[in-house]
Amino acid sequence: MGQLTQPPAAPATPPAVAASNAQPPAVPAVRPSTVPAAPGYPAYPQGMAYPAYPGGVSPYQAYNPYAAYMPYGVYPYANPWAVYYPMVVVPRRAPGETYALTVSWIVTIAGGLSIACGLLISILTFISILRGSNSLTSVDTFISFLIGPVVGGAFAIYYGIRGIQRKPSPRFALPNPLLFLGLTALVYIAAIAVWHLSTGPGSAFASLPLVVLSAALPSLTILSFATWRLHNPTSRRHVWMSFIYGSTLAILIALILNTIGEIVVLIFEISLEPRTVPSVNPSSPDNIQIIGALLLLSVVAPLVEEGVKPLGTVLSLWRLRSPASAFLMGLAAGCGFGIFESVSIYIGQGQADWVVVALERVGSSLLHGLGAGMGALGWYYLFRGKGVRLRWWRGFGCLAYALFQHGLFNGMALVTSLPGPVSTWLQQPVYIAQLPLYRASFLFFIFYAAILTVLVIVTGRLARTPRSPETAPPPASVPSAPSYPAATPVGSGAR
Amino acid sequence: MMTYPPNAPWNPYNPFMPPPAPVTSEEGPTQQPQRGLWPGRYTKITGIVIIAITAVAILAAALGPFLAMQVSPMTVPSGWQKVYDSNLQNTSDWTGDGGCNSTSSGLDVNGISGSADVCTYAANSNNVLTGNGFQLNLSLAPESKLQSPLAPVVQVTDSAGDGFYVAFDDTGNYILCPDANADCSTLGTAGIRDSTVAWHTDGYVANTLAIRYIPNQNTGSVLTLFVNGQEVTSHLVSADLSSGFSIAIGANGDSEALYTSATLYMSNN
Repeated sequence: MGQLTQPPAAPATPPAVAASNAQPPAVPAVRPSTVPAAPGYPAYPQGMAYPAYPGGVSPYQAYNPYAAYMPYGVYPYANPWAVYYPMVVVPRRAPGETYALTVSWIVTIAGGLSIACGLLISILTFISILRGSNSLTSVDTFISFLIGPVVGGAFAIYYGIRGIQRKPSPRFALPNPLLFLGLTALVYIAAIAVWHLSTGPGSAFASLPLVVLSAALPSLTILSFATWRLHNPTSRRHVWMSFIYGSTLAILIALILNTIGEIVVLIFEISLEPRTVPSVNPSSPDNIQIIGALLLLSVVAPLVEEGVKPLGTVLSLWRLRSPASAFLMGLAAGCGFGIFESVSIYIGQGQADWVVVALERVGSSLLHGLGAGMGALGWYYLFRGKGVRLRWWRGFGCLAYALFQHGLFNGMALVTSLPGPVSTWLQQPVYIAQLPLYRASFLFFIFYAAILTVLVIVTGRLARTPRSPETAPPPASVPSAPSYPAATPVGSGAR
Repeated sequence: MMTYPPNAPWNPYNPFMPPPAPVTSEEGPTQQPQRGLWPGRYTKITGIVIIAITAVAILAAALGPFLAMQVSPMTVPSGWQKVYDSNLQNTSDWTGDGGCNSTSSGLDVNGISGSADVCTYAANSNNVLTGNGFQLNLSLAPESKLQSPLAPVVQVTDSAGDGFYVAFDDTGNYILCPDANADCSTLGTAGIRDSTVAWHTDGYVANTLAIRYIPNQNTGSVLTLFVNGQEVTSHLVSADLSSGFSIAIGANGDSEALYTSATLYMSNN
């Protein structure tokens, strides 16, 4: 540790400073061990410990009121001459920090709103349950809005505050995907066994944990699989926030936009075929109704859902360092979306036969997850892919894939439900012991397998993609900044 | 007092301006490829918690049937006896209009457009004393055997239309209406509108229904509804079924129900 006898060479010392104190007194330079030296730039004294004045009497006692401006040790680059100048030095934020703070504030406020809305809907549903309802749809709605918006909102507030404090977040990791896969199999075997052993499931609340797990465990399997394949590319805060966004705000936005889409399609149908009762006879729909349904399921719904799910990732794109990070964040949002959709809307409708619906939808999080992951990847290439070969092709290609995949899946669902010899054959059952599954389900299982193959290929390629070098240094618009480390690793306590 | 704006450009020649803070990162250093079931403390805790939740969920689902009242279709209050039991194949015990078809598969009832259609119990009708209490057990064919959506209806009314009815749809939604003259399908009216977890919504799985009426002069008569052997709801009804009431089964409007068996128990008292 050396001592500086004079300040660094300053060709243009501010006049006011020069007039009053041209030569500050010598102070020892104490550099905190956590802050690396700035090459080519003289080290500032850090004011950790001033030498004792001779005789133990300070000649500057009159300046005691300004001691409050000297939080040495908190600001490693505190102005050593603050004792002489009544000057408040606000530490400058690093590039991108203001943006990160803004996002953190948005997350915190959105978390609060999410809790309020979730509690409102949960209470309304709970009143119905208290009146004696033993319906899986009611209980599912109750628990979905309790876990999704309320618990998710609480996590959002926690992570938002941590973000405001600029606390680092560890890398996102999950247990081995084989563990989740095994638990998924166990849950489904147990559910099928219980279905066979009792004519009625009893209390809906008793079935609820298994219902939630039948949707959550396949999703976590996919999330864990992608995380392991991509070698944990991003932080816990990023992934969980994206997951919660997918299971709360994304669902809400998609619900609103899908409803608007339905109205538009209905107006379109009525304009082609004026009718008084806007209803579809499922046993004999006419061509315009089929076109309307196809438009709604294969165009509007994919556009809305694949457009909404990656938005959380898009908000954080400028904080990400690799396409793998964007993909994993998008995948997490899709998994959250898939779980909420399955639990709150679909599985409960099966009532005593919920396990049949859960089996048919076992790959829904794979569909939503990969779609949202590809969407996020597409936006990453479009916004952050400078220098990447075929950047625009990759960007728009990923977005198009997400839309195509979702549209094809929904289109298949529509075609298999339309009256006709093909759908009649597809609607025949295949029994697991006595539990009936439609043949059409196996068509979707094949589709899920194809999506899984794409996931394996994409994660394999992304795992080999190096991190984008242009994301690390501060922007060139900041002139002559000292060469600090590009990004401080998590755990360094960087502000 | 001087204050530097936080985002002012860095001026290396101004010794009083602090340098920018280091760029924070959300991401730590690249990890080594993970190995094992749960590498690290966080993943280990996560894994153990999820295993515990799974175990509890399986246990709850297994115990679930015991947490709700399960009633065997053959179980009736003591002192009641079986007065009718039929598989309803080619039967003439139930009469009605064109929507009431007796087939080799059972009693097939088709609701007419917009309103329900029913077949009334006609066999030994003189012996049917609903006012003493009764239980009617019904078996329904799976929806896949029907041309229209499944929506069974059971009603007990007199010639004036007084009485009650119970109606289901194929998603497990039901209405228990204590006043057959009222439209209980709209909100704000009497009766119970709900759905039940006990209903099999799969088109290849059959359902059973049971309705039990126990008269009580002091506290009001109790009507209890069972689905697939599980008690769904219980409701006090004011209707006095002492005389002139008949039992009918049918289907809601634009729907169908194929009844494959019916068993009627009545009280001797």
